[in-house]
Amino acid sequence: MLSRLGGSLAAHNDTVIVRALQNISLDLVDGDRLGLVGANGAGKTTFLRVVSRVYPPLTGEAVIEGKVSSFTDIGLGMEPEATGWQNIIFRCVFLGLTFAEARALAPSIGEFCELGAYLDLPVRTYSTGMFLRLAFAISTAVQPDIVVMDEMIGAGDQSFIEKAKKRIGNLLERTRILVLASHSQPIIRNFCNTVLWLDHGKVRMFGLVDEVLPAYERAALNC
Amino acid sequence: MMDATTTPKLPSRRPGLFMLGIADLMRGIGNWRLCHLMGLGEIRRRYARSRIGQFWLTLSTAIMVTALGLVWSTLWRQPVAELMPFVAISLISWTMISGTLTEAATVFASTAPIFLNQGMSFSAAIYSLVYRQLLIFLHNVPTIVIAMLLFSVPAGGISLMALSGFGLLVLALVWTSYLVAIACVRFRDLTQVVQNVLTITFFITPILWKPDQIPPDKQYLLFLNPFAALLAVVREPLLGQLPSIYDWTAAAIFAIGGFIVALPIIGYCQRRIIYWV
Repeated sequence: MLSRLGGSLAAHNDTVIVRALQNISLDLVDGDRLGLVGANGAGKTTFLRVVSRVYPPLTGEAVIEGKVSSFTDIGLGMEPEATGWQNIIFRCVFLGLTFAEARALAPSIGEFCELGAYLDLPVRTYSTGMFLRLAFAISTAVQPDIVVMDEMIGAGDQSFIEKAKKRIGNLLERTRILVLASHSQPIIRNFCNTVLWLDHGKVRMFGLVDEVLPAYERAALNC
Repeated sequence: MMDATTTPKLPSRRPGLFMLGIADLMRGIGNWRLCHLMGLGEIRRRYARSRIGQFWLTLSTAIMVTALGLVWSTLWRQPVAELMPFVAISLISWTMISGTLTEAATVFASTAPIFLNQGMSFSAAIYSLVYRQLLIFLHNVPTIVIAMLLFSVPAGGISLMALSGFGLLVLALVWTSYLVAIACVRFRDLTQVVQNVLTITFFITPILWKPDQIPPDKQYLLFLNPFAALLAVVREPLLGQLPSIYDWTAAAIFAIGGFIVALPIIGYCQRRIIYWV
């Protein structure tokens, strides 16, 4: 069975098995900013989940050292029925802080998101944009060792967007390792120094941004 | 940076499944803050915007106990004063057992977004589930106390033994619900099977009837039912009686010995669960 998208399919007894990633071997160290590119189903999200310690490899080994923050779902742990302030605590604890640390950090998060008196209301009363502002402000308040992102995150209206860009930029600069999957080449160029091009779950090319991205672009135009 | 030539080093000695199971349970305990939030969150969501909120838990159980106690004491022709405290304790403890196992059948599917975002031991979901059921149980304690006072149950110092009985019940729920959760997430049809098994267990366990109502030649049915023993070690001390040695032994073996069976299974499955959700 051949498909232009997705990982390789194998039959095992009567079950179809999706082998999302295979033969991936690489080291990332402090300072590495890895961009992930590839078609839909190439294995980018699976790779991110391996780095987040979500998927333990079934063959081979993945050694991940340090605190990982995954920005794939920045609203995780937030509850519509709880107030903004409560949600700041919840989400911070989900990001690995203690309750005391979360309480200490809360005022600066409240100030950054500019939600003011709304923070005393249940989050279900927020507009989508307000909710995103809060989720963004909390998620970017905690500095991890390794940041894992599926597309760049951002939030807010015209005035907030610049503030948000600066904040995420600072966070990504301070983080020791970044792994960012994106379909936007400018974003990869902006934040990454190396690129891993995945194709059907395998490494198609791995190297510096200026080597991999042009090749990836040519291949995308040709098919 | 890329290292394609050297073969990956394999760890020289891999820990046994039993130890992997223990490690998994310990990692979940390390995440106790999340367990606390996840446990409370579900109750908050369920009773949000309700005027008396989670006290609906207390109220509905109290109504249920009163109704069943009255009906069954009439049907069995037993004094209400005897059956009502019995039904109150048994039914409320059973609600905790069946609530835990029912939710266990779907807990990995319903918490999947969390586990797909950050690597965590699935035991955290189990702890938050048992913790939540524990909180629900606490809401029902007043009903037990009122039933005991109202019908002047001869409770005394002996009743404190119920705490260790309850401890065994909670331990038993940890490993049973973990196994149920693993089995149900791997084989989804089992979710329905669990429902049916619980319904049947409810009828064959002394909850609405007393153990001595079973004819002597059928008593072995009780001996084969671990839940009968677990309920007995919680209930009997509260009713001012000593549970039988048999009940203590059976409850302890099931609650603690069960881990010996469960740990290797947990150890084997812990890395695979995420691929099943």
